[in-house]
Amino acid sequence: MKHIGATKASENLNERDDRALVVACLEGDHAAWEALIRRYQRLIYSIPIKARLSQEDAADIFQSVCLKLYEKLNTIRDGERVSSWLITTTSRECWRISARNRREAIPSGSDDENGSNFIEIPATGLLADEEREVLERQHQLRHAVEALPDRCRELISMLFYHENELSYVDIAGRMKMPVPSIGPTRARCLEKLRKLLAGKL
Amino acid sequence: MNCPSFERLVDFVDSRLEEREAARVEAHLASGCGVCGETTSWYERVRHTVESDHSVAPPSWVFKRAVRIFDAPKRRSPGLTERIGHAIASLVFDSFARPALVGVRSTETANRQLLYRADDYSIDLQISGLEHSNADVMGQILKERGEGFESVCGLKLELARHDDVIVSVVTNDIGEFKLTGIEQGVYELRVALSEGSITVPNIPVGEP
Repeated sequence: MKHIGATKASENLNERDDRALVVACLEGDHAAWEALIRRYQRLIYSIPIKARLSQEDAADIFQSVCLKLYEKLNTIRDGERVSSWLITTTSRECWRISARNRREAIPSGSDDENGSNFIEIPATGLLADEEREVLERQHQLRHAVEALPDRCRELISMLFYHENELSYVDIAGRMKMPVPSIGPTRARCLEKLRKLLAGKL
Repeated sequence: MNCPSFERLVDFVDSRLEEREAARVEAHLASGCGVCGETTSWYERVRHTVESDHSVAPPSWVFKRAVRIFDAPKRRSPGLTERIGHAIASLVFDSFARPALVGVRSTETANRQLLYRADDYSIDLQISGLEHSNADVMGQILKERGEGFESVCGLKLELARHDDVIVSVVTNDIGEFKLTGIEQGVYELRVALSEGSITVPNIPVGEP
């Protein structure tokens, strides 16, 4: 399952926006930093993977980008721009590592040439606007799902992000609720999700 | 037909409605109901976003390693504000200061190269020869320990003389800039960093 989850302790942090998390980080709040990294971990890590870099390179890029984020926290005044900043920084890091690999003639880590899931990072190191928008939309949706109340988050995660499509019977079993309740509960949760997204999608 | 419920509309998009019910919802949408149309469009966007999302989470050790960045503030190198604040750059190279070799014909051009340094930053200036008492100043700012050009692109520069700003420019994607038609004289260049500033003093444009 493409897991989305949150512990009780992190619930409150999940509800905070990026700006609030950045401010808390600057005040020395370790949990806020962890929540910020957790929030953006997929976004950061997926860019090098989509750019067909190896898992080792992706891990290095992840660390490097997080370090840069940490160093730049006090300059990121507009919390709304964290995702955009991360996409730019990560794609530039990918371009840099790709260029290094080309120089050193190290083959990329992926043999999978099934193209549509991959992105090309041009020589500018910047992703095309369309790619950026897709990444941001995916991030916004996942973030909104994470911010849902427990039961809703669990249900919507099963419906949206489970590796295998689950039937209502499977979901009812896992959530210990009657099958006929799934549909109305899902509708209520989706309405909450729509409010959380507030026109962002 | 009254507007279908939110649940019905979502079920319609997910093809979970029986044929007859689906036909009713379809007819309602075809009638041009804006509210229901907006709801189904929203949910279709959600489904499309989910289906296109092949993102992967990093391995837990990668995540934990990044979280630990926060645990080591004392080991972290000081921030630029602490290191630089308002720094004055030092001249480390001047092509006009090199002694000419005896018996060797000069291969120098009229261009003058100056290299300045302030902390991690180096500022490379190429000053063209005078033409009608004016010269062009081209340069590049580089950061020694920086990766890529992120830290040097989009920096605001001001060329000043006697406290008057003559011209201001912004560095390009790789930290380069160009100042054209600068009158002969001695200038200072101010580089605004997000974390501080660097002043490059006594830049001789067209001066010996």
